[in-house]
Amino acid sequence: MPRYILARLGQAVLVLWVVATVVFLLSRASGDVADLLIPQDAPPETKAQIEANLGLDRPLFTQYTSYLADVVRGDLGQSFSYRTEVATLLKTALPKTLQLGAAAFLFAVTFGVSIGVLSALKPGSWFDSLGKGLALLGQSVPSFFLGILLVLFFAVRMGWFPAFGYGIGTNLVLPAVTLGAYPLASLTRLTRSAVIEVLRKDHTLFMRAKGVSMVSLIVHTLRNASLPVVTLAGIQLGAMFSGAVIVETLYAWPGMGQVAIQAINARDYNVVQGVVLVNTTIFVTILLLVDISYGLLDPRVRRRGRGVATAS
Amino acid sequence: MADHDDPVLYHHDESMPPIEPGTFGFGGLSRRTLLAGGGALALGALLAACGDDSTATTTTGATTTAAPTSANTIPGSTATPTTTSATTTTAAARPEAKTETLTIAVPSLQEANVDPHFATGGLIFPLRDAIGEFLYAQNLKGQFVPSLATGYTLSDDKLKWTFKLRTGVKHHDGTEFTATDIKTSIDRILQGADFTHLANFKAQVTGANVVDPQTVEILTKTPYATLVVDMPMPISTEYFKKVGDAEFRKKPVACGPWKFVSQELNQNVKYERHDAYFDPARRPNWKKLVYAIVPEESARVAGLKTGTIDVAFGLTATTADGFKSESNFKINEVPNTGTGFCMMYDNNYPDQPSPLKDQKVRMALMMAIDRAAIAKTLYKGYARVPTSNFPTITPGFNPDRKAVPYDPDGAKKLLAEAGQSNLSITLNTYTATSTVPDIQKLAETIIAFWGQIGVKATLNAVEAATFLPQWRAKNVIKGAAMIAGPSSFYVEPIRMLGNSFFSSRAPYTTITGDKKIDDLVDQINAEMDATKRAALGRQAVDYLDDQLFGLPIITVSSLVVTGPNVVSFATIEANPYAGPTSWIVAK
Repeated sequence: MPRYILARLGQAVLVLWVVATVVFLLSRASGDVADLLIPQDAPPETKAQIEANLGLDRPLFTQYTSYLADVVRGDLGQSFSYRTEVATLLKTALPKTLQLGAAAFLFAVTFGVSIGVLSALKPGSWFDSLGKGLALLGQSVPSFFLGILLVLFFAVRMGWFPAFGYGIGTNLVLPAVTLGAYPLASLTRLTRSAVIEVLRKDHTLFMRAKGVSMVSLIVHTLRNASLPVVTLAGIQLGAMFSGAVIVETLYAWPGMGQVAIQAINARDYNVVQGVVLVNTTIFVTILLLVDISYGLLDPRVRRRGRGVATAS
Repeated sequence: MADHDDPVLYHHDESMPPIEPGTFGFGGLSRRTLLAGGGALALGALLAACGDDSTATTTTGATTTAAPTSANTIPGSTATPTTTSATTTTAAARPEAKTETLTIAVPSLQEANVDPHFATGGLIFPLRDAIGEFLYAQNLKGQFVPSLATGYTLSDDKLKWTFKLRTGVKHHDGTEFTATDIKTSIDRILQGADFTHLANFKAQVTGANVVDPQTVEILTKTPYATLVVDMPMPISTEYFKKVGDAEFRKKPVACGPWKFVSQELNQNVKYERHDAYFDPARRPNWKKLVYAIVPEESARVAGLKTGTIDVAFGLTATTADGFKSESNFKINEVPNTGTGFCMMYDNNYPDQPSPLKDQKVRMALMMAIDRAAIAKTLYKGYARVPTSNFPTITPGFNPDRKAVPYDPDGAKKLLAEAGQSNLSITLNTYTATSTVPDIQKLAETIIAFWGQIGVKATLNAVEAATFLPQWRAKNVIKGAAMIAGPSSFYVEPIRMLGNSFFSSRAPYTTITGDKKIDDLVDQINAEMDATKRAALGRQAVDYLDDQLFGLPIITVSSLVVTGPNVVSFATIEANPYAGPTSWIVAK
């Protein structure tokens, strides 16, 4: 297991390095940031001075090595448009995105897995049809459209929730539901099919024949069906943390997505780099945890990690 | 020393009077007028409630009025909307409002901090205008009139400006505004490395001398014609020295109408009223102001309808029209806030042949576009056909010039005369800009009109972050290119000619190496008299409008919807931004 974790860690670091390099090169290739910091009528010497101050007059490789060294130290540089440390900026925005992502994830997993399991236990029933219908709807309705519908009904018409704005209480409900709708649908479908598959296996049929209680049966089935569900949930969690741009914009949620949009519009490439790096780190970390969880959930993975042959 | 008396832009009054009633287009009304206005307002509200949808629209700005159906008179018209008295409407409700807080929602403030010296772009101007005050401020007509200054003189060598300052002005911390505060601001900007957005000011101003508490001298390296317009806002010296630069950025103190309370980055900025604000005519009649950042238009609409927002900026015509049937809401139209230009970009390459270098071709391309139809359909009537490359507020604008007519047959003839009946060109544009909505659709529409006279045009639309650097590089874009100009920036002719679009030195230029226009730009730069600068601007723009290096396609309005807590809304002519709030009246 330790060797397995070390190998996965090495891969994660490699991914981060590649992403950091690509982002660095792309942002430099997109134009001269000094142009953005000066007014249209500024004299040329002012531009040269700014380039010198920012180190943009140095060779690209020197800029690159300096950038990597700073990143390792946690120094993401200065934001050109916000005129503050990028790390400080992201420290303000990241918790808000994590709150939204966590709430959406909780919503998606709770309802997605529950509906999926209950649908699988009674396939073909009205509940199963309802679950499948909801899943289809959740996957086919774009989040911006769903969000607008939710706002119109629950905020404007019913007045139950705020239409927009950051907050932990009622402010969180509509954005979390909007963000969680798609993963909920995916998890419902996958859980349903995974549980049905496990329920058809001989060992499950044997348990049923022995008259094992429904609760024990569900627990047993869920553990056996959990590998694909955990994988998907991990990917969805990473996507929710790093891809909530539309939902954050729709609900004026001041998280990483909004910072990213503003930075892209202002070509504030230090912030763009920072956002991409932080999001990649989150994604890679979650996938790493998912990989590690395989070992905990499935003994065969642990045995493979120790070099023990297993029959499949 | 020569005294200057420029009635067009800068008024001078050495006697340091109180601000004249009506100087800022607001507040110069008698009690009787106020009562009459109040009655008219009540009657208007009754009519609005009973009448048809169109009564919900108000045209605002310098030429403001509560003008029923005014929006419907604009399409195709080449005249500025006729108006009477915005101030009559708005001034009626100046007594203290019952509403304590007004929340103004904007798509973005692009705010780094709330420091008035960091107003790096138009979207952040509302924060600057809340905290601080200029020596010369714009009135409703967009004219720069004395505010903290009462006048100035200029030395014979044109390198020393002496400003006389108003007395009795208090900062938010209770300290008195004096000449030292101007020196503090200028020293801060000249010495600070972060003020790159004020590079032009820093390149020309060498320092400030305090002569006495009410007199300050500003020294420049070279004659600096637009210094009055470019002067930074003074800040509280005592507070600045006490807290230091870093803390000041987070919590600034100056003498504007609003005191800073809090900022939540990318969420909101909150203020409370500066009760000791020196100009009663511009003092808000409510106590607390919130600028809420709500990027999504539908969320701003929902906020208006749920009452969490009182004023919403950045609404498209289709969305704003949705409020026509809602009696609690008013659609306020701020005309002429931005113009979409189709620039004949190939004129930037003096050594390369291009059909766009032929004036007949340029005129044909202009005549082929039915701009009145564009105003009516694409912009739902909240736009008009521009007559000139200069916005109406730019000194030098020629009100007598007529718009190039829509004449596709004439356009075909001109193309044939120029030997370009099979013309093919590329039209470059960005996908979006806050200045002119739907600019990509506008470009597509132009291409469709050109197609009707046999011109084959290909659209090349890219993101603004890519497009604008390409424009400045002057070696990427070929053919024609669409760009938007925010009218409120062009308060001086040089900003249109030398800073933006039309001279060899302008970063977003569309004509390089034209001696006539370059010479005029040099003359304007050297001219210290505003009236003479305007006259030179007229010469330049007449030439540009004849030559059509840029085709002014459409001039759009900004739409602001106000909710039931707002009695009236007005702003500086052609100003698309959410501040200043001096002419908003709360209920």
